[in-house]
Amino acid sequence: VSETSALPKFSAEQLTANINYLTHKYPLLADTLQLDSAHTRIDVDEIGFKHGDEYRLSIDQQVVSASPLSSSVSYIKQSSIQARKLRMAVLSTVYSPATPLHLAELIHRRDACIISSCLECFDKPLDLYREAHRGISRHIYINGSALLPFFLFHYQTQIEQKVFHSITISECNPAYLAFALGFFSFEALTANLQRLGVRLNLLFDNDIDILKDRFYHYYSAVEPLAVYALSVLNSPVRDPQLDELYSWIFSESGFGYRFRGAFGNSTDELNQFSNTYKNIRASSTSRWFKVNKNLIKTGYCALVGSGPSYETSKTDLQALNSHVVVFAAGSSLGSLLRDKVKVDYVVILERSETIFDDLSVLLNEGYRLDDINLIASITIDPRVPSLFASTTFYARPLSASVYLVANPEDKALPFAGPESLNAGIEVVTSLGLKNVLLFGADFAAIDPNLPRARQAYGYSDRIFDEPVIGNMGRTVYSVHTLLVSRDAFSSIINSFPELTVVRVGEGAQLFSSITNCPSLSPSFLKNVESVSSTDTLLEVSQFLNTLPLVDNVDSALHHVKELISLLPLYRNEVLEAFNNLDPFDSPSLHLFEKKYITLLCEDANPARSALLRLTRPILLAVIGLLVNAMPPQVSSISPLLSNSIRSSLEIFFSSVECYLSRYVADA
Amino acid sequence: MTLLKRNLELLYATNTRLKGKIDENQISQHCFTPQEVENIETKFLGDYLSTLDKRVVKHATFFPRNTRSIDDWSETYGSKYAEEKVVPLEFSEYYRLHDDIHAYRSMSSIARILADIGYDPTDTISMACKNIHTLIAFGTGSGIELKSLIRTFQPRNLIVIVSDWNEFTSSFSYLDWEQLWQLFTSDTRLPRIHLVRSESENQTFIECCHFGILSLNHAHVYIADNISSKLRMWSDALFGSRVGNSVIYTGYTVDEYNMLINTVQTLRASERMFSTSVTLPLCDHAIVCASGPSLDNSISILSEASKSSLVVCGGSSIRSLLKHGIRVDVLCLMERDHEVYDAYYQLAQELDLSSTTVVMSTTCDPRIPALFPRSVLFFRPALSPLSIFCRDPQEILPCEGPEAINTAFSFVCQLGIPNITLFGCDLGSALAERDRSVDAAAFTHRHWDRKVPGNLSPEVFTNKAMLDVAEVLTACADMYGQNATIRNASDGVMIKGIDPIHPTDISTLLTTNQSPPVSLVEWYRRLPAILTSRTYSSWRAAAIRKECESLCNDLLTLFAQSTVSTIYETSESLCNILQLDGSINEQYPKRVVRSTLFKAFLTVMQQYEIMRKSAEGNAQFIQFYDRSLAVMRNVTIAVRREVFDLCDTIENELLRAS
Repeated sequence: VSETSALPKFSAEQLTANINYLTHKYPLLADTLQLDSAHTRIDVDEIGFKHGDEYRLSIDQQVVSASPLSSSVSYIKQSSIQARKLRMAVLSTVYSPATPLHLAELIHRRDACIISSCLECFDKPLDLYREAHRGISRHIYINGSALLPFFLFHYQTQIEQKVFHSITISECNPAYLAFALGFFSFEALTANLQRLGVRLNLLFDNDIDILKDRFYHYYSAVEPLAVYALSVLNSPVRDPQLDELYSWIFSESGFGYRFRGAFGNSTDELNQFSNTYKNIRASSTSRWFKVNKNLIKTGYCALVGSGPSYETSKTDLQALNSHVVVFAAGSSLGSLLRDKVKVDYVVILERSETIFDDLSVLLNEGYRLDDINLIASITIDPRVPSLFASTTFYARPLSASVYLVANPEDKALPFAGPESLNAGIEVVTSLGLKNVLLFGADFAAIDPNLPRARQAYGYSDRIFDEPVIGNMGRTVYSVHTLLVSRDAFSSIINSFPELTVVRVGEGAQLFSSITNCPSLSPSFLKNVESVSSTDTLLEVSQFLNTLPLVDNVDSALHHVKELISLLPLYRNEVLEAFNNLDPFDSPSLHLFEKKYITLLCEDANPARSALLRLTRPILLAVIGLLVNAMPPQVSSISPLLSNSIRSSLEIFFSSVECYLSRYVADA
Repeated sequence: MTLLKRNLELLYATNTRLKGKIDENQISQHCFTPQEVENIETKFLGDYLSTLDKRVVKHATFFPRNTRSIDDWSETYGSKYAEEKVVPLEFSEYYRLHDDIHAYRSMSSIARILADIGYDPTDTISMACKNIHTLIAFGTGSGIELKSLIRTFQPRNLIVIVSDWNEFTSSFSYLDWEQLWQLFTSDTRLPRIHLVRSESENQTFIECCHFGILSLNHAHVYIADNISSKLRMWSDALFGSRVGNSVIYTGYTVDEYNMLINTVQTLRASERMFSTSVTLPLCDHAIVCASGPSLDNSISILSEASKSSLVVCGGSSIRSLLKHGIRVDVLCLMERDHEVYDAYYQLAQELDLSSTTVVMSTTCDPRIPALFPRSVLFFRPALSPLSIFCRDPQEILPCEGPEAINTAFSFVCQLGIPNITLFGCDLGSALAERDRSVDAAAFTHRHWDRKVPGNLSPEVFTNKAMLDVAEVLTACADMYGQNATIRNASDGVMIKGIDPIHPTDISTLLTTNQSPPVSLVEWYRRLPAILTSRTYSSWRAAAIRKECESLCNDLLTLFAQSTVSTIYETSESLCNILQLDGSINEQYPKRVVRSTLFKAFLTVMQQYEIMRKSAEGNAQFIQFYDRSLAVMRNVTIAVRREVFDLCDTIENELLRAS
């Protein structure tokens, strides 16, 4: 852009033409805009004295925004420098070189990504990768539609040269969108971008929380490769609500951890798969969890987490022990046993073998577990069930391991995680319990040096360094992983409108309609004390003892074999894309990326979907790295990187094949 | 190769653009004998040391240093914030305070430490000794003098400022700049030498602060004989009030808290946000009133003129007009003081405010909007609420202070009204015994200590504060009133750039076709609405708790790692951490804590310069420094807690509202 005067001009006729077009193609969006134009007047006045570079945007003659367009123009001119980059740092752990034989050694590790060990040219590309990200990325996110016309105008040459692979715009205010649509023909734009193979996506919603969800779903389901290098352009002229979205995008406790958490990591997926197979084969007496679609209206249950507030609220719990069904979530079992609280059920999620060691410590201290019922993920350490009176397994719907479970619909919790306490609330609600008391469900700590209940089993290495508002209206310390758990916990409660939740103790604020109190009132205690837990326990047990696990053994083996047979085909598909990749050719890269986006999307075929879940974290990481380090940013390392990643993936697939074959051999 | 040639080669190698721009013939090639050099050095150092008080920069003092200041200090703070009252002080008690009690508390603690270790607080004598913090050289002269200063005082940092590169190259025959560069860069991550050509007084001062504003404390200043007169003049800034103001004007902690609380509440209490772009033609003529004594002589004229003019009052003058039945369309306010509310509450009980729209800063008392039928908010350009809640630069009212008359005048200029006349904008008085309009609201005590040329009278009484007001009015007229004809009908200070007019001549400005200002309501309707959801979004986006936690952790680490031997380094790191040039979200917690920590650390540095003159003092300082650092750690921890309390208070308020 040489002169501001060369900028496109707003035209009311253009806006009307766009609305007409949208009415046919995207009626919902058009309705929003039509509504405004029918009932209110949208005015865009040029008010600049010197260069015609100021405008006033009004709805019904009330000014919505009045800013110089020149700020948008100068922003766009500087955008390659000013735009913040979103970069997922999955490839951050460097291992010593590993071969397929070492794969077994990596099992039970908690590390993020085993493939990085195979990248022999790892150090060099990473440096160049950083270099590559000095310029504007292939994937563009525009926060605020008012910037779109200026982006299109300034980058028209690059758009024609197919530099960009995707352009996504968020908007929550129809006036700004109307403003943007007054500058260009939407029909012509979509046709042109379609011709060039550039994906255009408009995320529009008045509710900022829904917009966050749409952003998350778009980038996790449709455009996952983009998050490894996404240029985020923040429109200087925007609705203030978009500031919240912008801040959330760059927050670990916002988009970052949620995205990474949703994809998991391949080591974890393989270990979960392994444990599931072993549990199905080994547990002759265990049962499957069965979701109860009806409410258990009588009685109370207590769900106990290992947050530090447990220490101040445990006397209430002790007082009510015989009147409520007690569900211990994970490590809180240690506190409860040591405080002599009778536990009816313990809900465990984590697959780590350290759980078995932690429980052994309790046994060595003389506590009994054989009068407690275990409700656990099918992915847990297979040694754990034998320690408890009975075991009921639930399936994790987002894990590859769910493929080994026959008819998983009724056996899976909604999300099963990410923490035991989340699994706990999902168990309680899936059982149909209506009255829930929460103890130690803090997701935070008042004192960051005292982050959990004193006698909870195991240990936590979390550093509580994120101050947030607490449920008692004062600041508490949390950590981004727990804040994501908190959000998931809130959404489970919100999805059960008939649920009555009383939360005892101080912690992070839940975004749910519940009662918060530092301790239970005498009248409430009296009320609960008038109820016996016996009937509730009986009803609960009905749903935990119906489906024997042993029925699944043959089908699980069959599924493993099916995966092994499908693997070569899948591997060829993954590697085939490399054959047609010319690292110096932008259109070829475009095709390569498109191919991978298709490959990374969920598949209707359950076996293929399971393979995808096992391998997707790695594919996402390395292919994301590759496509975003390619020309025009960096050309010299591209062939090296491309070859290295291809051979790394070959090794990885061999490893997976070896790994799965072992189960068949054992069987 | 001669030293001159080597230096020139080095210069051209590092800055190729200078090639051809240096007049090499101007560089003295005169060879002094070693004896001559020694004589020059001896004479120079003798002169330098005998006039040291004019060579060393004095920063502001925030610590009571003599019996009188200790008494004054106790009178101001002691009775109000005696320690037993302030520790612990509930956060809610800060609300409505206007004193810098955080600085007071840290100074009290530091004073106690000094008393504990038995050092006389009235000892303010420091001596020139080696290992100084910073040497600032304006020009380099022949190089002989500068070299002798560097050798004698062994500064940690060297700043060289020139107005012309020839003022730098003049030293090339005697100073080995490559060697000097190595001296100031070899043992450090960042260069401790800063060489720059300055183009203005402002830039000169900023360059002097290159190593942080605290590094100016006890900085030695060398002014070469051969520098330009303008550079010599710019160097004066180091010996005026600007050095002290650089710390004094960093605001204070309680004020930052209260400004934010007020902003959140006023955003809830008001419906419209000011926007410089909404310029509906209200009318052809606007009257802007202040409460100078000459306002009373113009009442009858104003009564007539108001019929066809927009009447805008800056603060207290509203009462003088309303009391005489003159309609006031707009009242402009900018002060945060809660007494302002009391004054207008009284006014609302006494007179009818139903035709007046209040235009006020977001930081004003949040109860004020309820007294008026319409309220419009604007952001003040230099205050922190801007960094959190303002997303459109047009919501900022420029040149809005230091007095409400500035707000009123700037507001009218922004409306785009073609004719503006000032009344009662005396900024002083033609008569020494009168200081304001008889019927003006509230009470303001003015003391006149200067005489300056008047607007209608030959000479009038005024003071420095009022002249500052005049200066901003001039700047505002210059920047924003270019399309308007602005006149001053006040019998007070002559305001540069605004033509005088006798009040009786005002009728010539009023034409018959002027419409009454009925469109004010329409203007109000067109302004952007203030929505709670947007305020909340801006607040959430700012993530103040997170930024505060991160800042406080940096500060606590800095204080934990500091020792006497790294005191200068610590001061520089402190300035770096508290710099406001980061992202806008990082700014608020920095603004909250910076004044208190700057004042505390500056006091400690000043004490260092005093105590290190003797071996005993040096030993005592180690203890003093460690304990003072603990005070600063405690201040940081306390402020962090308070910022969290502030966030809780605000969030609970906002959450309740949404």
